Order: sequence, then C-alpha cells, then structure tokens
Amino acid sequence: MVTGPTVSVEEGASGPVRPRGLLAARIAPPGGGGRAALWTAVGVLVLMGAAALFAPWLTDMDPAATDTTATSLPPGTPGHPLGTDALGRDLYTRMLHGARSSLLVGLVAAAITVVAGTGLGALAATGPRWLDTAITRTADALLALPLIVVALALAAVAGSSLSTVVIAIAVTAWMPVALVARAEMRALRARPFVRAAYSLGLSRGQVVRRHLVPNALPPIAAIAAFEVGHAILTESTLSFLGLGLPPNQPSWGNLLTDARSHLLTGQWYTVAIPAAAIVVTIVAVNVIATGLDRHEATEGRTW
Amino acid sequence: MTRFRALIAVGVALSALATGCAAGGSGPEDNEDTLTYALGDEPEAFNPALVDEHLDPVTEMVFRGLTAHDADNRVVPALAESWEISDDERTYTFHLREGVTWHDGEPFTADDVVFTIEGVRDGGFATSNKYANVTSVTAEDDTTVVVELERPTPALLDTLSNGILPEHLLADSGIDDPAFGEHPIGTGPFQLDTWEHGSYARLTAFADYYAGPPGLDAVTISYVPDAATRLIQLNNGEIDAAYLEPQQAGEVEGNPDLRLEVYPTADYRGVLFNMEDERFADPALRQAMNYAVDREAIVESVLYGYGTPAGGPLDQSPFHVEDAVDYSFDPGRVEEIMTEAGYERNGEDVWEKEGEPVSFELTTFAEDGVRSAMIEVVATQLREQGFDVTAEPRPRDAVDWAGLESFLIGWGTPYDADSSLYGPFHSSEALADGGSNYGSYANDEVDAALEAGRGTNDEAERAAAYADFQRALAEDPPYVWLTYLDAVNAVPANLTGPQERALAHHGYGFFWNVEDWSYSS
Repeated sequence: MVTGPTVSVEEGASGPVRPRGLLAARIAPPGGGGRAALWTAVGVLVLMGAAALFAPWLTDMDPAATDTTATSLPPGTPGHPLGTDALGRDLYTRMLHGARSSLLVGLVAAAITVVAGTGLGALAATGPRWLDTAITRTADALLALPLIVVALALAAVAGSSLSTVVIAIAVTAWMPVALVARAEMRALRARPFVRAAYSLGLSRGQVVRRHLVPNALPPIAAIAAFEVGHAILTESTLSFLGLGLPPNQPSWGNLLTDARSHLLTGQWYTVAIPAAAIVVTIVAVNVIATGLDRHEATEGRTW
Repeated sequence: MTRFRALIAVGVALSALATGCAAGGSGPEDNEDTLTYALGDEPEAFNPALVDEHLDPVTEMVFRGLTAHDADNRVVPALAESWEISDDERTYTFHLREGVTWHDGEPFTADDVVFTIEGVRDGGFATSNKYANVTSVTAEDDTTVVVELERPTPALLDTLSNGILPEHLLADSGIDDPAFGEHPIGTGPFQLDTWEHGSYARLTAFADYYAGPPGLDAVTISYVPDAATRLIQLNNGEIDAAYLEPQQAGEVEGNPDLRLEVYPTADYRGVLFNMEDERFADPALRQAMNYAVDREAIVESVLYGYGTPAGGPLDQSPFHVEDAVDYSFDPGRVEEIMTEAGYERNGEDVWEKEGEPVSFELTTFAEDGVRSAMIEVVATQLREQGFDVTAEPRPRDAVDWAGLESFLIGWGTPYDADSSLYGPFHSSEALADGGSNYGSYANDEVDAALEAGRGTNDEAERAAAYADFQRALAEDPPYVWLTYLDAVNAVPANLTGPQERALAHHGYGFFWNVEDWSYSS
C-alpha cells in the first residue's frame, strides 16, 4: 500500500501525476483542433476571471439582499437574468460574487500548493537522505488517504473561513507536485551541465535556484494547471458540505449547498447554474493543462 | 496507481451502500401494522429525567407521566387517575391508577413516583429546578402520593406529565444511568426494541399498556439529518412518514399515498439583543425595529406560508392578551419612534445618534437552515429601514453568548406559560448567573409580573399577571418578535389518529396520542 503511489514517479519518470475524479476527465483534442480548444479554454477562463474581478460593476445588486416580493423566479425574469433563489436573492449577482470567492480560493490555493510542492521536492532531491525519506514517505501516506477526509477533518477543527479552506486544499494537494519535482530534479542532478556547475564552484543552493528548479518547471507547470481545477473543486466540495466558506459568503459551492434542499422541488436552475459554472471552469482548466503537457512533450528541453 | 485509487473509490462506495442498506433494512415487515417515521434530531439518551417537556418521539412513546395533555394542551389524568390540591395550594395528593406495569412486567407503584421526583430534584440536572419547590414527597400507600410544596407552583401538574422512572431498575445506578438511557423501560404504549445510534430506533407495541394495546404493532423512528434525503426516502417508500421542511410540503401535496399534517407550534423565533451592550439600552430602538420587519413576508418567503407572525412570547397561550401591542410592518412608525428618540439618518441613510450609527451583527446557528435564511431576510428588511444589520450565521459551537450583538433565538412552550418565560426574561436568570436569559434582559415590571404569574394557581390572578407582563414587554421589548413556526409532517394517507395540537420545539409532541393511531384499510 505504501509503495503503490510512488512506483510511477520513481526517478526518471517525468510524467505528471494523474489527477483523479472529475479532474481525470481530460479533454484530448485530436491533431490541430488542440490549439482552437486551448484558446477557447483560455477565453472561457479570461471571461470567468473578468466576471469575478468586475463583479461590483457588472451588477448593482447586493448578493446578500433578499427580496421577499421576488422569490424563486425562473431564469429570464426581467431584472433577474438567472432568476432568484428562495429568499429572492438575485442568482446572477450571487454567481458573480461567488466566482470571486471560488476563483480566488482556486488560484491562491493552487499557487501555495505549487510553490510549497516545488520547494519540498527540491529539498527532497538535494537534501540529506533522511529529509528525502521524510518528505516522500509523508507524501505517500497522504496520497494513500482519501483526501476529502483529511480536508474535512482540517476544516472541522479550524472552523469555516477562507484561509482554512486554502490551507486545507494546500495540505492535501502538494504531494503530486513535490514528487514530480523531486523526480525531475534527481534526474537533472546527473546531467553534465549540473555537474559542470558544481565544478565551477557554485554552491548547492545556487545550483538548485539557477539550474534545477528552472529546468524542472515544464512538467510542474502542467500539474499546476490541474491544481487550480482541483482547488476550485475542493472548495466547492467543502462549501457544499458546510465546512468551506461561511454560509453567507457566496461561492459556487455555497450556492449549491443553498440549493440542495430544493433539489426535488422544481427549482432545478438553483442547482444547475452553479454546477455548470464549476464544470465549465474545470474543463477549461484541464484543456489548458493538457495543452501545456503536450507542448512540453513535443518541444523538449532547452538549456 | 490509478487502479489503486479506483479500488479506494469502490471500497468507499460499497461501504456507503452497506450502511444505506442497514438503515433501509428497518422498513416495515409484512402483515404487521408498522410506521417508519424519519426526523433529523437524535437525542443522546432516552431519559425523561434529563430533558424538559420537549420530548423526542421515542421518549414520548416509551414513558408516561402522572399527567398528560389533551388536544388543547389542558392537563388530564394519566398514571394518576385523580388528584386533590389543598386550599393553600401547597399540598397535592395524587391517586395512582391501579394495575399499571412497567415494560419488564414489574408493577408501577407510588415508590416509583417518589423516586423520580426526589431523583430529579436532587440530581443537579438542567431539569432539577422544576421540582425545586418540592419540600417532601411521600408514598402514603401503593397508590397514593403526597407532594408538599414550599410555595404554590402552578406549573407542577405540567411538570408531572414528564415520564416517571422505574425505581427497581435505577435505585442502585442512579436516575441518570447511561445504560438505562440506552435501554429505557417505561409504562408507555410502546417499548424500545433496538436503538442503532445514528440510524434508527425500533419500538413495538406494549400489550399491557394501561389504556389497552395501541393500534399499531410497531413504530420505527429513523434518524435522517438531511431534509432532502428524508423527502427522497419518503417518495421511494423507504419510510412511511417524515418531518418535513416547509419548502418540501408542496412536493408531498400531489402524492396520493401521503397526507400532510400541519400543526401550529408554540415555537417562536425572535431577535435577541445583548443588553450588556450600551447601544441596545434605549427601548425606543427595539420598539422601532419591531415595526421595521415585515413578518408576513418572512412567513411567506422563509416558511413558505407555514407559520404565523409573532407579537410576543405568549401568542399561543391562553394568557395571551390581544391589546398589549400590535406590531405590524409600519415604516411610518419607525420614522416617528426613531426621530422622537433623537436619532437621525446619516449620509448612508442609516440611523445614528451622536455620530454613532445603528450598526450591528445578527447571528444564529448556521446548521439550522430556516434560521440562517431568516436572518438574511430580517437583515435586509432592517437595512431597508435604516438599521445597518449584517447577517452572519455561525456554527453552533462557535456561538459566544456573552460576546455576540444580536441573535435569532427560539423559545416557547405549548404547556404552562411559566416554563418558557421565567428563564428567558427574568433578570435573576441572566447569562452571567448561568441562566437562560442569554441577552441579560432586565426589567423590574417584567420581573414582578413573572413572579406573580408563578406564585399562584388562581387562573384569574395569573391571567392578570401575564397581562401585566405582556404590557411591560411592549414598553421595553427584549426581542424583535418574528414568527411562530408550523410543524409539517407527512404521514401515510390511510393512517388515522394523528390529531392537531399546538406542538413544542422542532415539532416535538407529534406522537402525543400515538396509542390511538392505526391504519384504516
């Protein structure tokens, strides 16, 4: 059980660790269609990002303001393009403000994951043997656990807040990055240019900074994109389970939670709209990740 | 690795399925009249000594008290056939029903009553203060119990509707014995067979019940915290009946196999203010806010019509007085009261006095979906009238009573008025003194009226005292009163017997006449 997850990322294996769940559904566009799909995905993400960034200018309503005269309106109602929820809150406004929380958590958590993962991978690859063992075994152990359980435990202990969610995601997602970074750097360590750098008198730290990390970046970049998707999905899951962002702060996951009790009551759109936003974002992120992956594989390395 | 993860996924799915089956396996068996009812809350133990009159269904069905309540919540005989009250209202003589047996076959006697009253009074429980006025309780013979009181205690007969406990099982282990709470033995119409924690409790009919065997053979109480899951199980036929959330009622209305039982409850919601906070000291501010909320709109939106506007804590009580106050949504009154009290609208249209805007946080238990929704609506309504209120639900464990500004609270009892008034509103019960007056509300007139109300059995005197109480509250409202909730239960269409009665918190009390329930076909 302990050896299971490490096998595929032993030294020399530079392919990124495959993600699971919804993230595993990669879109692999055939041949030249790849570029069009890639740009579509980028376009979708830019649009989502802009919507989140400019939310206060795109709507003049307050996402928390209820309107008891306009409850449970269907999409397309004048003044409420996406309809309203059971308390009369405008779903368009809530989706925009929800995008802010969801994308912010996704980006910040993914950034922390990638930086921490790369750092730990570099430490493991170049540090003393005991440190290498400690980091890889910890990563193995965490990979062997259902991560949602770990994230749930963390969120339950620390209470619901934006920072808890970010930390819970980072703690449960750094392992693939670290293992790939470590494997990549160990392979690089034996290359002539690295040896040359050492013989020129560069310290270990300088070699890591100037040669090992920059050259290990392409495969890490491919995982990083997946990590964004993973983070958005985990935030939604935690919020849906009531352990993510505080319930009155709109996020896509929280909108799903709010809508849950209406699952069978005919207001399908309160569930469908946030769910669709999550799926579209994840698919777009995955298309980009796949594109990065292929790009790196075909063009090779330069140094 | 992919395969490894897939295996985990399959394992998790299988274990989920297995637990699902275990819960589903409690369904009705053939040729037996059984009822499976699902609700969200599961108690920690089935022991009436540890809870007040808001009994969960299992405790309600397993135990019986000396008294009970009828459909109008009037006290009627149960284990006691009759009683006499002395002229000074300080001596009660109860004549017990003969031939009553416990579920284990032992006879029920006066010693059990003495044991229960003394055990609860001296046990140091949350319920102990209910018997604090009892100076002595003695068994004159096997069927006569005499209770001596320090002073008149009108709520005593209500309190005695709570279950009597068996001395022969608890004399050594104590009245709060945890093992007994797991396997309770009572004198009620149903006995507990099995209790799977977190899943279900199965009860079977007690053939020797004093009023004759009940109409149903078995009742299973299924614990399903998620309301959406309850509705799915109800539609699938996994369960026969369920406690529903208001928005789900419409889904059941078209189902020919189900019938809705919608009963009023004495369970109200209001906004409590932390009176230790100087900003809430002015009664005018709290009066104005009582005119700033549109209660009808809250009932229609949050409760889908399943509730009634609240004007005070006694709306469901016989002591309610109509003329004490009439809180209706009235922006004009808000302007008038606030302006008179010296407040002005500032640049952001928020009321302020001496440069201090009326701005505070309204919180409640985040786990309670109805309360969380209600604070969003109340906050919006108050903001529209110039009170800068932010809704901020918090997890139950994170609520700091001493530190909060305002809170959406729930109280109310369908039984004796005193039991849900003295704790929340008497100044001696303030939070700092360990009481349930969480807002530390203090008003001398209210204190005096509450003391007068609990000091006599005389209905007219009590009515006068509680009328004074309601008028004092109108002058100095402790809460912004919002709504009373209705309890919505779905039951099989061919189930006869459930009868409307004002219920308690969480709709508890729905099984009050379960011995009369049966299937019609």
